[in-house]
Amino acid sequence: MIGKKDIFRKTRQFFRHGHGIHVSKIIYPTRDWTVGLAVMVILLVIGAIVNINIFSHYSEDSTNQNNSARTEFLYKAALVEKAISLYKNKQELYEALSQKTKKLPLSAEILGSSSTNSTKMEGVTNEVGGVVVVPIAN
Amino acid sequence: MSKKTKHMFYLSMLYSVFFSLFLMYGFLKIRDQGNIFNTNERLMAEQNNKEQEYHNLIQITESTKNDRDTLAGFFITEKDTISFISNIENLANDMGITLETSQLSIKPKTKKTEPQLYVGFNFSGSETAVRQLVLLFENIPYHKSIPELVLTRNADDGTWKGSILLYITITS
Repeated sequence: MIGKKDIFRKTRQFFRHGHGIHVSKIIYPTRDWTVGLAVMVILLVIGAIVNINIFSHYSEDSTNQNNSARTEFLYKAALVEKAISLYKNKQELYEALSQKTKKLPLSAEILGSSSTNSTKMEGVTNEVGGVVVVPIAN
Repeated sequence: MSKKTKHMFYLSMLYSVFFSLFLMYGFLKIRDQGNIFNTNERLMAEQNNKEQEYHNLIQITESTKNDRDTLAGFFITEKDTISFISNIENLANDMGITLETSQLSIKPKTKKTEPQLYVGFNFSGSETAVRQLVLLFENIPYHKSIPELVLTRNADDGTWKGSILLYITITS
């Protein structure tokens, strides 16, 4: 049996239809494509920036590798020549002394001075009857 | 949201997480490989430098062989010490000088110095001969030092006496 309540319920259902049909569409292709493309472009830009940074980083490293520290060996040729010259002179003088002065007085050139004054000996002070201690380097 | 929509949302999130992790893994892998590349490149550069230094050293060694041989001749060796002293004694004898060896010892090698021959002579003779001998000592063509030279003149007969100490560097 149809009561008063049933009549009111049917009436409410009838008037609710007056608010319009509920829209069940939840997909908007244009909007979604736009958002998707925008996200993709942003990802591409970020990826490009990251890749450029990585490339520039390693390319700079590869160009800087040649500047690593290098040990240089110093050969002091001038010092060697100086030493050789010095000792060759000594050697020549030594040989001249040992060859030419056997039981013969030295020439004035070798002695530097033929003066009998022994005070002219290099680095040596002549003191009659005294004792002289003189260090001579090399 | 319907159940299917929620399901798709969860799948999308899962996919995003996995994709992000994959990208992160790739990025870290590239960074690690880059570091390995840098390390290897640095090692190669160092190796190349060492190789270049080695060649330079070989070149210097070969080009300076004559100089080094010449320099080596200016150092007395231990086996030549006796002949050196005999030579000095003979030369002094030829000069008319009385000479005797007063000291002969070898100072062993230390951290700062090479081994040295300590040799001392006492001598006497005429002034000219003594001057010759001192000049001879001074021009011994070996790396040496003369730390002590003592000369005395005998006022009675005019002869000279002296003593000298030589430190001669020895090479093996």
